[in-house]
Amino acid sequence: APCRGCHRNSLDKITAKTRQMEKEAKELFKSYLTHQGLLTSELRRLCNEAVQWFPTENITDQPKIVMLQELYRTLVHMKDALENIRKQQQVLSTPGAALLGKLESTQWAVRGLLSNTVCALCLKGILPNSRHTPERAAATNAFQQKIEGCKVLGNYSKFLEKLARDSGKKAPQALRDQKKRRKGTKRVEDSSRS
Amino acid sequence: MGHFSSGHSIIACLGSNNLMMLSRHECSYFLTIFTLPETQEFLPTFLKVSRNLPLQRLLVEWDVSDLAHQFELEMVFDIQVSRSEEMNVVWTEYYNTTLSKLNKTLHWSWDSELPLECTSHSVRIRSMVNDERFSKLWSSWSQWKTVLDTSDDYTPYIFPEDKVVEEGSNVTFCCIGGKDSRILNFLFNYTEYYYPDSNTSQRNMVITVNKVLHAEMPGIPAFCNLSGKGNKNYSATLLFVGKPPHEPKGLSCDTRDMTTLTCTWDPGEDTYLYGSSQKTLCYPETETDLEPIRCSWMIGQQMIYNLTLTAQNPLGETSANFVLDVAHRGKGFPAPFVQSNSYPHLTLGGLQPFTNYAFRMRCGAASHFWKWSEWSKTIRGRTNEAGKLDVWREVTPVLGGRNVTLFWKVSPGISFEITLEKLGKASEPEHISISALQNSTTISIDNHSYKISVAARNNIASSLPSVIIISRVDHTDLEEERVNGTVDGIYISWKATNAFHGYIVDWCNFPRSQLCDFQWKRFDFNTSSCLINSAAFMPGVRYSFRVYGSLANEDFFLGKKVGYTKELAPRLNPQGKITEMSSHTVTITWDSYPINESQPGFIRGYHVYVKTMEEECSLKGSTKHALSDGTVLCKYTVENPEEKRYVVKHLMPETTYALAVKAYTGGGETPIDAYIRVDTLHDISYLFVCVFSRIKDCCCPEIPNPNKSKALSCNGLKLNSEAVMKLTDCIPDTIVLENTSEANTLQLWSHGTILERESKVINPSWVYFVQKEEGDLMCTQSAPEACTSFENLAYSSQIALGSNFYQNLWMSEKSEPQLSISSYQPQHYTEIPSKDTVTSLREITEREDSLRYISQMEVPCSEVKLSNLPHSTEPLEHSSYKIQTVLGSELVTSTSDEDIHSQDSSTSSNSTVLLLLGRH
Repeated sequence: APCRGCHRNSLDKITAKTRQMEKEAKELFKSYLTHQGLLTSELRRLCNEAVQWFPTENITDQPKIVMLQELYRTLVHMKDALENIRKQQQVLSTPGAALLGKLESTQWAVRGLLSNTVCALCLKGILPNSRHTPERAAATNAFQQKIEGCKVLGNYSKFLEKLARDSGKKAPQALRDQKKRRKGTKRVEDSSRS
Repeated sequence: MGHFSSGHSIIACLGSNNLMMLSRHECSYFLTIFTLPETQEFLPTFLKVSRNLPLQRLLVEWDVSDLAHQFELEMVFDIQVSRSEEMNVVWTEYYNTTLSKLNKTLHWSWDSELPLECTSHSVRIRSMVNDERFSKLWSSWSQWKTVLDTSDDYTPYIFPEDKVVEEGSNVTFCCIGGKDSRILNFLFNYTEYYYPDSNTSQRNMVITVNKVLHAEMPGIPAFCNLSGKGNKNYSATLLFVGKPPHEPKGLSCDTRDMTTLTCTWDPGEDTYLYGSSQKTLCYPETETDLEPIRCSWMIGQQMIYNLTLTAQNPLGETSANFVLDVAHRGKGFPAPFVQSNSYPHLTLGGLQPFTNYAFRMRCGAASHFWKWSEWSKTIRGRTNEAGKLDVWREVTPVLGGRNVTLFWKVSPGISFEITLEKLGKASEPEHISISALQNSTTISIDNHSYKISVAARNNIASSLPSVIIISRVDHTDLEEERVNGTVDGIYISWKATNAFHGYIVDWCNFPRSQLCDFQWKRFDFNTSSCLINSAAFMPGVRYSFRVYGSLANEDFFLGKKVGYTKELAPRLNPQGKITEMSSHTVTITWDSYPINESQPGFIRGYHVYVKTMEEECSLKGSTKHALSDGTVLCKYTVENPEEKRYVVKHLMPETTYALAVKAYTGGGETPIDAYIRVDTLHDISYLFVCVFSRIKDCCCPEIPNPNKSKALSCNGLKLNSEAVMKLTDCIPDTIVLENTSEANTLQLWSHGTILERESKVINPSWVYFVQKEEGDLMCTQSAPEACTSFENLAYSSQIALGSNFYQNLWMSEKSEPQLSISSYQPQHYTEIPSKDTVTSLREITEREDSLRYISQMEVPCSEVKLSNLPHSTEPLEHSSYKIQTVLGSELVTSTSDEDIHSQDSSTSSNSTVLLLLGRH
């Protein structure tokens, strides 16, 4: 019952979804920069600053379960951050601005990926830690809010880029691993268990 | 009153009243003399500077010595404002004031163009007594009083923060770098500003952007790029550029129902200031969530409203006032009626008779016309024939004449006058007056022809009479025709001929009700069909339509059509009764079943269902009918609804069946809810049981000697060879012959059936009963010679045939038989046990699986009809009949009341073979 509705191939779905979301994330970031007047190099530099809760390391190098847990944790943060950005923009933007539509679409995508991640963890017998304090908007003034949003979207875009690129690389490797596993190569089994 | 001396002293002479107020007890007359030096200096003291940031205003407070206040001197203060650490004086002002004894603190304020946050601001003041008697000398300066000392702050700032400004205004920004940092550049809306060379300090920067324009972004970033130490090397803010609200245009208020007033307006051009602050507040508050440009209020008795519409944003506010008279803003419903005098109806004159018209309406206020309502729905109608009432009649034959019921459409305020005239007879016309409220009346007439005239009458005049002729005979005996209906109505058609001027179709909206709501519709001469519908039409109700051809004033009945908008399955089940029964047939009847208009559909026929108790029914001539629970019934169809009887054939004797009859209509039938249980009789006709042997030949003499048979020799029992059939005989098949005499009915069991039920070993299919006409039975086995094959289980079942079958027959006779054993004599019939014994045997059989009974007789098989078989008491010489009984290994009670000699049935023989004589 805890894995109800989960597809067996949740991992494959994550990989496919990540690739799709990577493009969307880039577009969203670009749209945000344009819409907020942040295209100058000085301001973009601010957007490139690291957001604390994004993983610093390449999570695809981690064991599968650690990777999934990290992905889950990041997406939960992202979900809150997106909601904050959307709320800010709702106050600031022209009704019906394209950015609002893109933000909303990304929110759905993140929820989808989160759901797949929960499934993948569940299928591995792990219940993700649901204890989580919602992100509060730390920024004090309108400019800081703008930059916080930009940072989140910039980091998110980079995060997905890395994830999509590395999982794409991993895919053939995983395939080879599978083949080897079928032959009963012990080394591969060990690495997969690690 | 006081006065001043020549300039060096002031003598204050205080009035007694004043003094009394101040110090009543101490003095009555008091004189004090103050002297001031000519060069008296009143240095401003207690200088305080603060900021009101929202107003970008410096607030300055100070004081002078009490003495100055005491003399209520007129003074002038020189106030300097300087910025930054360098104390660049940016403002100097002389402030004149007359001091007051009561209010001692002095106030001054200054509005800064540069955001006060941008840099530190310092103020100093000096004073001078502004009196000719004194030498006008400035006091020395007070100390500088500074606000916002950022000199030691490492945090960078930018001002103003998140400011909203009007498009086209000049905006001054200032950047303040943290301590030890340097401003590199300032960036606003993609334009870079560099530090002006003239400015010596690079920690602060003031930039004025002229004529700012709105940008397509929510807040234009203003960004100071810094270098040097500090935890943050930039300071930035957003500038919101927009426009103050425009005066709302096109305020439009109206009411559709005189209860709710709704106002909308055009907010005008874009102000470029968006966000959640953009909303409408309606006062007094309304309950509903409203769109940004709409307010609605409930209105009461008040007609005149003074409305104020105010638009506000951070840049300003505009208002517009309106006086509104609700009575003039009624937009009206798109309703079919308008207020016309006091009665909501309009009478349209000048229409053509017998003409179709379509009507629609809209309304507007008669006085102070505001606007038209939307159009109402279109309604259509046809005017009557010129000046005549639309009258129709129904004729019902009664004893000695007819009842004529006249119908017309009621119009308020109009009464009716009926004139009845017998045609062909010189008689006085009869006049009947009918009140305005009635829409029908019934007149009794005899069988003669009558002319009936109906005229409508109001206070002023009478309409032309509508004439109806009732002829001598009303052709009402035409056969009714079934018509098909749909949810859209019932389609009626007739054969249009040139003989008639028009056609009339009449019907009842509620045919099952006493007040049938009689309806009629007229059609012109070239119409030959119509779709009749009414909101009153219900599925499962049979409607009857009569079609008349109209010629002059006479109407001729053309036919009756009956139909349903939708047929339903019959609610009433046929009450089936079993009226006849035999061993193979059951007759079920349901005589009283009605097939009339009370049914919710036309009864198309019946289904007779037969259910067997154990398994799927598969009777010959039936179709299979599976129920939802998986039961499979046999289904027979009776297609004639008048036929209320059915004979179910091919039944097995002595078997329980369940029967049900269902009537079906175009709407189908209801599920079976009850069965009639019936047990077929025992077979009382001749039965010809032909046991189809699987022994290699029909006439095989090579039957092993029973005495050598294992079956017979088991248990070491030595049977008397003479008690066993002769093997040299043509071995007979198993024949059972029953007496047809009712009094001497023989009962037969096929134990094979019983055994089959119990052990599933026996397949009875090898017993063939072929019924020919008159109930004759024939053996299907057509042997070339007059011989029969037989199967004796005792011999062959397990040994020779392996898996072959048994046929076990048991015979009995109800009447007390006279048994005699006459060995080897052909006896035409036998009877073994009495009825009681049979019962006991049967019980045993049912108890004991191992028990086997076999009766075997020998008859000529070939081409022998059972009816031709001897069944008289006369012995047949040419054939011998044998009954062979094989009993199971268990102890069996005696098979007969009579002692069957030569058999010791009480012995534990496996097989008892008896050859018994039939009765005489």
